[in-house]
Amino acid sequence: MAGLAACVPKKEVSTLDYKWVSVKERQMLVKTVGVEKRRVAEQGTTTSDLCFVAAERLISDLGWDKNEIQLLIFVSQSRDFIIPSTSGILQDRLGLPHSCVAFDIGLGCSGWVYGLSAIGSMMHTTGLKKGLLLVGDISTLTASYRDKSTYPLFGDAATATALELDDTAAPMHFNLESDGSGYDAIIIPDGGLRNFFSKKSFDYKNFGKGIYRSRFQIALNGIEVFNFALREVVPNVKKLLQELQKTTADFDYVVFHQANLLMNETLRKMLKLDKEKVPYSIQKYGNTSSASIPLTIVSELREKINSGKVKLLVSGFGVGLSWGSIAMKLDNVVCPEVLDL
Amino acid sequence: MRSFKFNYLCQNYLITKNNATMTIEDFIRNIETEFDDIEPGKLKPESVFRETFEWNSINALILIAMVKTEYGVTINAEDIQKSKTINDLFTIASSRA
Repeated sequence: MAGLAACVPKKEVSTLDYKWVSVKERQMLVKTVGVEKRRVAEQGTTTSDLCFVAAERLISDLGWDKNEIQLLIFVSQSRDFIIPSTSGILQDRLGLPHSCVAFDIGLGCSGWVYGLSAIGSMMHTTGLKKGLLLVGDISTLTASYRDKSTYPLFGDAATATALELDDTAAPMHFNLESDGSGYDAIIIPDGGLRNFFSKKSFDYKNFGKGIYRSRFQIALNGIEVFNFALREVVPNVKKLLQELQKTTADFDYVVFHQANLLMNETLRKMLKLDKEKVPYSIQKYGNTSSASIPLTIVSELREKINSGKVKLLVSGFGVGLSWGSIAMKLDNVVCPEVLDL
Repeated sequence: MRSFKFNYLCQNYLITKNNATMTIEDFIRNIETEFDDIEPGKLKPESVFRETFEWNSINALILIAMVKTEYGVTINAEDIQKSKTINDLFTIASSRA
């Protein structure tokens, strides 16, 4: 990994200002879910706009020649258009050559983990020398303001990870898993081909307890997702460690997808990790879906990764359901501070 | 096998993953630790938890997290829905230990 950059929208909102729920409930949200502030994109700003800013800055800081970038993978669940893919738009906008291989992967919370596996193994097998992994999501536009189970949780962010084929680099180890039986635990029901758009897609329905949303907005089954994470994440991480004959003590930091504070703290305790070892960005940026792991690294570990070697264990889990972990060693990664747009 | 037998014999005891015994009193104490707005000593095994403190889905998650962390046991939405009292939850959790 040669470089890592993250970009968030300029507009910041505070959970304590969320007027749809009582002041007491807002304080409870901050305490348990952990989101104090988050960044929210204006309508019309896309994930690729944020990726573009992060990628431009990273390419410039690395001093890369754009003509040498041979691979671009865009990982997101918030694409610019239904058709076509966003990766091609970014290839053109960034001024990358036609020889650049570009495609999309549609994943959320596990997206950076899966994306790194895809780009790393593709570069390794094909010999492509320089690649960009652009990962992020704008989730706030598809969350209903009157749905307290989603609206105060999500923030918007996107990231760029630069990879360079280097036979001397430390290997990355992955353990990726999926379980589509839980596909509806986090879902936007309408707008795809299974339930195509109709006028009804935009009707608000009352789900009780202060939850109103349409079928074109994101629905999240909190308890199901919570139990999924508590069931799957720790065994997934432990299996990876077992394969490598390592323990968590062999790693400097463990970076989780920033799902919510309560869930992540429970995972931290289950893995018996010290607080100092588990960085959080959820307080500042909310749950930023696929961007949350790289954003946390940039926001919390920037000075560590751009000035030496850092052994990282990371784990992404959520929508799909899809989850995975990586054991990796970062070595002097070029990492500008969090950018905004 | 031994711990299973012990669990069967003493229904009010819960065998945790560490093989330490847990009582309903400890279960209540753990809940009191997690929820600041419960006065210590107020919660009883027969307390209807939806009435004892302000109940919402976040509280459900806090409860699930506590049971998982302290006892290594998973309780789900259905378990909480069909439970009325603290003792109902304790019984479900202890049956899975």
